[in-house]
Amino acid sequence: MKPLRRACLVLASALALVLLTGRGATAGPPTDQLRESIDRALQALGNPDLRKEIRTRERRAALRGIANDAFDFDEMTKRALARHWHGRTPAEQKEFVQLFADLMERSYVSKLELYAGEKIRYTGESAEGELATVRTKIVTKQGTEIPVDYRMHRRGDRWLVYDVVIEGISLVANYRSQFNAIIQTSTYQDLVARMKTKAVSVAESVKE
Amino acid sequence: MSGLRWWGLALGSAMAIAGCASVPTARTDAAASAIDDPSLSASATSEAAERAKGLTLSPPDPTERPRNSSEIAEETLIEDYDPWEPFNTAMFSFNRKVDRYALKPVAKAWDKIVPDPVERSLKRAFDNLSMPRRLVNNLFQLKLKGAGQELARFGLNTTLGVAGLFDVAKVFGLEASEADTGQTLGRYGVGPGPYLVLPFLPPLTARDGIGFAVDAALDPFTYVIFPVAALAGTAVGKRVDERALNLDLYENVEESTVDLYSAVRNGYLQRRQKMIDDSRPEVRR
Repeated sequence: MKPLRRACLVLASALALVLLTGRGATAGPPTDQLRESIDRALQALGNPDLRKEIRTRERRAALRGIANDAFDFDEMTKRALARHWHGRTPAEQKEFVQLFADLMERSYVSKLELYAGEKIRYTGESAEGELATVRTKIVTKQGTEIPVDYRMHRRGDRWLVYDVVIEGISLVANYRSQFNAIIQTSTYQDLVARMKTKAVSVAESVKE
Repeated sequence: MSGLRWWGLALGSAMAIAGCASVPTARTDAAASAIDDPSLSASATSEAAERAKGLTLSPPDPTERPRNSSEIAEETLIEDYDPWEPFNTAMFSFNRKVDRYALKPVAKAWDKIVPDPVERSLKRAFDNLSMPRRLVNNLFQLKLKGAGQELARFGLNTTLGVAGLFDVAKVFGLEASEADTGQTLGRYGVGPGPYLVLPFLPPLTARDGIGFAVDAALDPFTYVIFPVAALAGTAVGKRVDERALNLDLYENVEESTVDLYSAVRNGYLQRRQKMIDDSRPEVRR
């Protein structure tokens, strides 16, 4: 390592130390709460008892509990259904939140499973009133970095995630386009039916 | 673990503060390498104070600001522009069949025979050969540092890295600076146009389709061997290799979508928009 490079590293670490012991300008409550949830999730993933393939269901249940604490599934569903949300009855809305939470969990948790054992770096946070974005990078074993941003809002004293942006792709926006495509070419009932079959087919593949 | 976490946190905050994190070019040009890059350290440190000020005084980057409720109402009106949907849908299902019956089986077999490190080496060799595309587009996008990095990387990796099989340049802090013609067009205000799916190709838009053709013309393989055969040859080799590297990832995508066509379309459009936003200096700041 060249001296100049080392100097930059030392300087950067020193800067971080000063700011952390003072008031962290880049790592506020949103980052702290998110980090806590992710650490818990990674712990569950790395737990040797839960790690075995047979234990997939238990592990998913543990992860589901963590996700429920960290994510605002109501808000995510509202945003993903967008204009189709308002025409639904409260019962339908409740059902859809549940179905969507299942789907989100599968897509997010299974991605997290792929990344198990890899490093997560928290690269910044921008907060404005009740809203915040926490930027992270997943560093794979090959050294590839995958930017994952968490959009959060404050509910009481908790910061909850309402969208996850992976490599520039917002999950909620992506589901919004899928839901919209199905509702427009078919019906809302068809969308619900598809979400249900999806849940069943995945549950079966987990059992195997 | 806690040591690691601490280090990650320290590094993360330090980079954000020192401004290293907002160093230009593609996502591979990450903050860590910025710190490792000797040419950057001087400017990074002198900019630190300025940026620290900027962090507290100026509002956050508009592209990264979380959306408020009125913006949500707006975004419900925006739909992915796809006037050629009937054609695209047909091509999309054709490509899926190609994937299922040809690409995936070949990639699986390939994955069994060839060890992962070799697969990655091959990917690097392919990437190395597409240097002209990245160089030209870095220049057009006025990313002079990126262009320089690409030249230096090509020189080092082609020689010391044995025809690009090994990424020696990365050890020296020289990261790839991803850039393509569709992105360059977008940077200068060319809209994406209609979404476009063509046989055997990844998703495109009208703009990116033109970019794709230009990029192919910038690929040295096109000239070294017979053009059409070369294009097909490298394309197949690349696709098989990439598919083999991402076997799990593809399964995963199918598992988590309810409508694959619109999911892929939306994902592609979002990702391209992000890449173009990132290539604009005024947005990147």
